[in-house]
Amino acid sequence: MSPSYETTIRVLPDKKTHFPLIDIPDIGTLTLWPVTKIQFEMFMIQTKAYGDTWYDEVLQCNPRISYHRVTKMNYERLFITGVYPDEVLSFSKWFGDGYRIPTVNEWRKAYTSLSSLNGELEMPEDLSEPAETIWKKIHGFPETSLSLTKFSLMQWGTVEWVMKNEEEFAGIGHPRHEFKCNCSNPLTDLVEKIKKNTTYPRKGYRHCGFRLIKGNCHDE
Amino acid sequence: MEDHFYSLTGEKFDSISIILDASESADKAWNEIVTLTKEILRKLPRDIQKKLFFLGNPKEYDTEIFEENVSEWMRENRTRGSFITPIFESLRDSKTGKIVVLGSGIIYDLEDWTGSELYEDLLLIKVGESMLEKDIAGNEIDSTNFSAGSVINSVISVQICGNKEFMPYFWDNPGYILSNEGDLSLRSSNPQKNLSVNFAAFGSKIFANVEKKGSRDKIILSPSDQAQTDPVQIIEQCTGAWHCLTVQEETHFKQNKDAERVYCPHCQGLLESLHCLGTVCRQTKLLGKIIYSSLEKNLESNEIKGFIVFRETSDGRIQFKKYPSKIIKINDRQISIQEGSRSHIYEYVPNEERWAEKGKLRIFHSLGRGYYVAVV
Repeated sequence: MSPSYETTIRVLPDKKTHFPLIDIPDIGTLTLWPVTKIQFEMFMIQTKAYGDTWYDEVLQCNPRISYHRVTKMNYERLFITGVYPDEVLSFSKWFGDGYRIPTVNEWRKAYTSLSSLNGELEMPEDLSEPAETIWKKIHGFPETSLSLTKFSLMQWGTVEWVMKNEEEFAGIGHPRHEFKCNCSNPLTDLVEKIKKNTTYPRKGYRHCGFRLIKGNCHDE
Repeated sequence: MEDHFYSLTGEKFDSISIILDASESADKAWNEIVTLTKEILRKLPRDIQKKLFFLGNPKEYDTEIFEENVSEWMRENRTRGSFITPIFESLRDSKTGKIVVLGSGIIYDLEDWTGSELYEDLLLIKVGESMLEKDIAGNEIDSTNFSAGSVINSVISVQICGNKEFMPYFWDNPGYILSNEGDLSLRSSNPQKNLSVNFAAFGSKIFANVEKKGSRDKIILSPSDQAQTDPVQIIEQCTGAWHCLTVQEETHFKQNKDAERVYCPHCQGLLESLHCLGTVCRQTKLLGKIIYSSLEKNLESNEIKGFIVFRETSDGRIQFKKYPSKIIKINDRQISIQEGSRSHIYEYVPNEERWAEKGKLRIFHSLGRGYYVAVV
């Protein structure tokens, strides 16, 4: 019998954006979903790091949608994609002490761990209004409420940046066919490899979002 | 039952928030945005509360020093990005007037606010590119069709309401009248310049509906921390001057202030108010006579009708003053409403969710501590 999530994981809001984090023993604390545009916009507003020109280019990869209008057909548009790993690293420093892009192994361990759990997550208190709305919407889609890998959007979310080593990043994940076709198995394959501080045309990474981890071990 | 004192001041229904787009998308439009803003600020009435913001920034800027600082403020805000959420979050609890955005290019998060009250009050003045995403409805006009004087809608009327228990018992602006249309409310009588009012009322969830040309605002009112709801305190602090009765009038008052039945000092007829309608008094004055001539001597003719409050001074003199409202608080549960030359007492009955009549006001009705109220 699979272990119950109640004894193993807990969900709590992050202190910066009040979106949900998921704490998985032996792995660490991860953003429950890929980082949303709303969260990235808070970073842009507070740091003045990127302006309209930059954001217009990013939004061409995956247009923004209001959390009020999210449906099971378009929810991937909530998440910020098309950003380079060094831009993600700037965000992670702002997001909180110790947060970073997960390693390949960390991501896969989290995926495997969530695959083995039963039950539903309980929505934490103190989520922001957008986060609460998004939680309810995703929970309401029959497809994503079925399993924790789907509710956390490790499955049927975006491709996500992971760290191969200090200098190299790659994409991992298993998005829906409608968002990205020809997807590989996240437990065995990596896609969209890229080196730190290199920039190729952004549109080539239009499916690449990210989640952050505050890991218990950095074990690659 | 709870009762509180409230203040509705002019700036609460006459305010404007101006939001400027200094982001990269508005680079080409910036000079025109500044010109239009100067024009709006120049044309706004002085007593209107003005707030100035830049997209992406919740900080409020001072409109009084706009011209000399706008270039520096633009540099400060240029790389923030076209986001309205930080400003709307800061306006959400206090905002009451119109919100005007002058800008060019998409405001990325505007759609998150569609359907909100703030969005309904939003006017987008497009100086170049549209600020609305495709397929998103909003009140956007081109700067070429915009007149700076049109951003403020003049107030047509104000109506103050509350829950079922709502019962105002003091208000200091005679331009407000009691209205029984629908639920009980205080309503501004005619288009008038002064819509400010201080008032005390039983009830909760008190709000003002402010009707303007083409729009309507609902202002939630919070009780004042300092003002009292004790009727004697209100009489002392919030109403006009005291006047003295003559010695004969004082004697009559002192002999009758606690009496069940009071008789006219001129014709000995039984009184129902301070206005004697007895046969003898009507022979001298067709419409009857006010028993204390001091009232007519000291109060304006339009002030005499209504509640008069009496008090005894420390040296034994009896003084009176006009109470400005048609309702007065008698005690912590009861009020009296002046209806013509009579006045009845009412008390709220929770089971029936209404104010029910509980008898007549005495000719001199005690408010405690040596204060009495009577009706003319």
